[in-house]
Amino acid sequence: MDYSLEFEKLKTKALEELKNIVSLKDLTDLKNKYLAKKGEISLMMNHIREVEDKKAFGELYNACRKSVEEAIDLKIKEEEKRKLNEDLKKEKIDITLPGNNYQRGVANPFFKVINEIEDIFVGMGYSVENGPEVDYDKYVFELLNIPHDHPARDMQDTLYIDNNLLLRSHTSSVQAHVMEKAKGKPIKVICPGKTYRRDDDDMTHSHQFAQVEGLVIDKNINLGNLKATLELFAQKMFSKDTKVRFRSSFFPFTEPSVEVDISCFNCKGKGCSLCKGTGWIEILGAGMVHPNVLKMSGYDPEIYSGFAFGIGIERVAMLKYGIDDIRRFYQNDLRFIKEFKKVKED
Amino acid sequence: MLVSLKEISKYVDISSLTAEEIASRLTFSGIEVEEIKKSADATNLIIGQVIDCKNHPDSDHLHLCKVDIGEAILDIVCGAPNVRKNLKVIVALPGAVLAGKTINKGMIRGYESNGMLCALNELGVDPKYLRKEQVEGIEELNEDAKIGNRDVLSYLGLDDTILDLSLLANRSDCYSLYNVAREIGALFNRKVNIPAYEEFHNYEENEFVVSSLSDSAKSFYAKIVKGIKIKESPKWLKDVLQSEGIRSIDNIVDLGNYVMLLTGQPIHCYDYDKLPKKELIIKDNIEEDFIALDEKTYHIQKGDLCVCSDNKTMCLGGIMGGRDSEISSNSKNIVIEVANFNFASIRKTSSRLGLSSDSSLRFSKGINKDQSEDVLNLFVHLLSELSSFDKVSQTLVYDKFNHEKKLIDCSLTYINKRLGSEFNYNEVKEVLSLLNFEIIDIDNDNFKSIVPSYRIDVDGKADLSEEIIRYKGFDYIKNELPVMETTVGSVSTLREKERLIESYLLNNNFYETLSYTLINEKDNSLFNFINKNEGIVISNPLTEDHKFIRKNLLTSLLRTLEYNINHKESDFKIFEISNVYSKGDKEEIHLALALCGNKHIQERIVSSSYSYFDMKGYFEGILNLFNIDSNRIKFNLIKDNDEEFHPNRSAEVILDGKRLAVLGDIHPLKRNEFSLKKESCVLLEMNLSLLFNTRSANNKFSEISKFPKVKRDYAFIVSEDYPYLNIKNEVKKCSSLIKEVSLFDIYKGENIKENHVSLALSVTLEKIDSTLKEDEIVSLDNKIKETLLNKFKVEFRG
Repeated sequence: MDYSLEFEKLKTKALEELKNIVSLKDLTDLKNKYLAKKGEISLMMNHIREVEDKKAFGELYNACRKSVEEAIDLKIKEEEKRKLNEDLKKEKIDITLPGNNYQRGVANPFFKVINEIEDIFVGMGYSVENGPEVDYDKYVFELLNIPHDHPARDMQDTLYIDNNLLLRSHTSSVQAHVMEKAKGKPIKVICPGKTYRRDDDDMTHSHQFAQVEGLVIDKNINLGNLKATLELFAQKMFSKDTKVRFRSSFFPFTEPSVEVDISCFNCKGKGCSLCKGTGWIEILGAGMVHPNVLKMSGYDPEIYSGFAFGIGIERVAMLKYGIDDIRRFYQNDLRFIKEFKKVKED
Repeated sequence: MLVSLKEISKYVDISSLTAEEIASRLTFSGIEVEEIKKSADATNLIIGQVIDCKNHPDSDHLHLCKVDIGEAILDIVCGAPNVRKNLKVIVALPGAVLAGKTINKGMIRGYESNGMLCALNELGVDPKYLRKEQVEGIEELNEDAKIGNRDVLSYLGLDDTILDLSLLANRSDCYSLYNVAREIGALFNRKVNIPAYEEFHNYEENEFVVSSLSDSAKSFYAKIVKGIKIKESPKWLKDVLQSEGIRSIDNIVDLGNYVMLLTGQPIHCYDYDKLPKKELIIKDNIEEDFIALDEKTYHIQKGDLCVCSDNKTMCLGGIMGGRDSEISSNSKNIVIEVANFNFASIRKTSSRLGLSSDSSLRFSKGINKDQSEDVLNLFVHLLSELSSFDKVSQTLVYDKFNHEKKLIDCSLTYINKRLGSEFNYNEVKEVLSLLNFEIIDIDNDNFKSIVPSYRIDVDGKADLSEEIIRYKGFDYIKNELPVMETTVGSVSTLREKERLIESYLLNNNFYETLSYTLINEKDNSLFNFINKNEGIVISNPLTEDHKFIRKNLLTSLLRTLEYNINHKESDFKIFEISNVYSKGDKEEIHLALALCGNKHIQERIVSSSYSYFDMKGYFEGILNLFNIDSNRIKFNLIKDNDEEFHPNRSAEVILDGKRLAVLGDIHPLKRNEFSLKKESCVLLEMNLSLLFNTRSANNKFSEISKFPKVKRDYAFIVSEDYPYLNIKNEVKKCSSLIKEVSLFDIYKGENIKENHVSLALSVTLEKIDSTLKEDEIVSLDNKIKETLLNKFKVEFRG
């Protein structure tokens, strides 16, 4: 008997039946009908006893079985994929619908600027200290070379709690605290904080504002060191080609004292509305620590010298972001705050 | 301080220097010129004479004038009440620009007008220097005014340029024109010529006594002049005073002011005949009411410096003269006072009485004590130009000052080291000499320097270094970063922790706000729970709104919230971190959070109100940043919270027995204070100082189990008397194998007994060194069930 013909017939029959079915159930049934233990192809194996060339028979059997199985499996796979795609279609979403609300909040630009200034000076090896806002006359005035009734002390400007206790009118008061703690050792520190004056609030004045005080004391500190330090700061804060200019000024606790201008980062010195056409912007006050201040805080001015500076935080923020009115910082209009969402500026 | 360049040019050669050059050089060397002004701002003027003046037929105030300007006769319509025939007037010709306004030919009510007759304020003169009639009408020129003169401003003395100096406290010497001239002379290396006059007297006064009984008035110089005539000041003097911003009164008062302007030394003159006794004695122990020149009565206290005659105050020393000894138009004999009143006393009295003058301004900054005689000599010299007089006494002197010159030891090395400069010895010496310091050489590095007496601000060698660099300019210093021992920069631990919280909250979509420390009394009392200490009051507040230093933050945060709700923002989270203060020197760092309105998913597709549990979540998130063990924390319902928080939806949080925070819904009765409507408002205030100062365990590795976890669930009904946390903690205590207990369902209502709640807990078990055996699990399961039954009387479900 020519089994090869038998196998061929079986195969053709199976494949013919396969052509007309689609559903997974029918496909599985068909698979069982031919390939299960008692399936039509499987049963062909009973004839092996009757043939001589068992090897050839085996090969025929396997080839038939394989081609039928592969054909059915392929169709099963196709059907499964079609069904999956159909299901996925049902899961379709509008990808333009809004995402979930995981935005970061935004800090008042005041805090952004404080953090940025802190980071710049930390990068230069400074430590950041804090001092009390409610402080004693001794620290806010006396130890800063401003004795009672000194012309530089204007009662009008300071908010007092009693004769001895007041709201600090500048962060320079932290100088005296820091020197007291350092006990004659070198100092390299900045101190950011809120300050208060007896001032009416308007676009450029505020009874409350903040400063960053800087103080460096060591054996060979000079005015040129101050200039280089402030220039580096201004370059990091505003733009990398910023230049610094000094003008002679007066503060009771520094000698010499200077007003510090930076070259206008907006027009690069050509003159614009920001710098009022001058190419320069007044930014802070600074100077060499007055020998009396050193002496009062236990540093020998014949050996030690130092520089100090006071940067106005709102002033810097107003310049940097073009903010027109200092009161905006304290108003906290969320529409204003949201304008400063970029976390790290270029 | 106003500086007339016309006047300055008498004492220093400023030829070929522009006002801008002078201003810029002064500004960079520490004397800021705030503004450069012209004393008048007008072009195309001519002097004319009204030769005919008729009333305008259609107007009740206009006049039709014919004005002779020499080269022509102009028809001009003028509205001034004082215009009349023969009057000499200032004519602004068509095309003239007066204080920015152009004058044109035109028709006024049907009549041609070919120019304008001017008042001085129309030329840009500040009306405060003008008499009422000068402002209301046109300027009436003297008979001698020359018709056709086009150089009107110089005829009027208004061709001056004024520098407005904004003087810092150290350069009070520049409240003197002489000293400004010296400064300009030094800065531009120009010749300075300050006149000096010999003492003059023609009789010996033997009776009159000047003296001081106060340590705050160490010198008192005076002269008596007899037989003077009080009259109007000459035009040149009036012009100078006007340029300097001072109104002319009469020749004696004006002269006093002029000498003060020149020398910086305030002067006071008394009517000799009105003094009750032939003496003027400065005292500081008077208490009486004093009527000053301004006709007002001031109450004088001990400590005020009074110049007395027969124990009666004639003058509030250095501040204002008295009405009773005032010079009047018929005064004949005068006493001229040149005294030195201590700046501290003047400041005190002046600010207490709210009374200040050009004189008190100068005294309160400190004046040169070494020039009293020169000042009197200058006064007498100028008096002879302004008025006739019969007799001048010798100078009467009371002087307890030490007039020794100030001597400073200094060295070139010191100066260069302080400045970071490389000046040589000669440069330094040259600058100091130009600034009128005398130099005594010691060697080619060390020198002594004698300070000019008017520079009362210069005390030590640091001051000398400033003189050098402000003169030479700051470009001479080397731009070099300081060379110091290397340090690791860092923010304080406190600040570091603050920044951790800040970034945690920002990352959770909070906005960080900033508000005023000073608030009003009511706001400072609205939220007290977290800090019940007494608040601090400002003794000299500017407004009631900024009178108290806040001791808590929530009110400020709620004001911010209120502002934004009023500006139509809804649904947001805000926070503020700030120091707060209360009596007894208490400084704390506080954090306040507010959740307002709804939280949303996908814009606003899904929304729900913020609740206590949102706030609690953020709070726990913050504690997690610092690894605070939850066992150290206790949540208590708050009783007696003064209607600040919802009594049943708020908690105080206790850390190690101390009050750390309060959180929860705002009390409904507080809503009105902040115009809140229905929106949810959940608050938190935390004492960060307490949190920052508490210790907690640092991160450390411990073994992670390799064996599978086992989960067991328990569902039961339990009385609401048992808070969830107690149940959880008791379950946890059952075995160290319990890794986690978590709640996954809570139900209340239908099918559940009143005051009871159905809970479902999931308990996770894990062993570090082996797989959990069945009998271990069973015994633990029983133990948990027993605990729940015994301790909480639960009823298991299902």
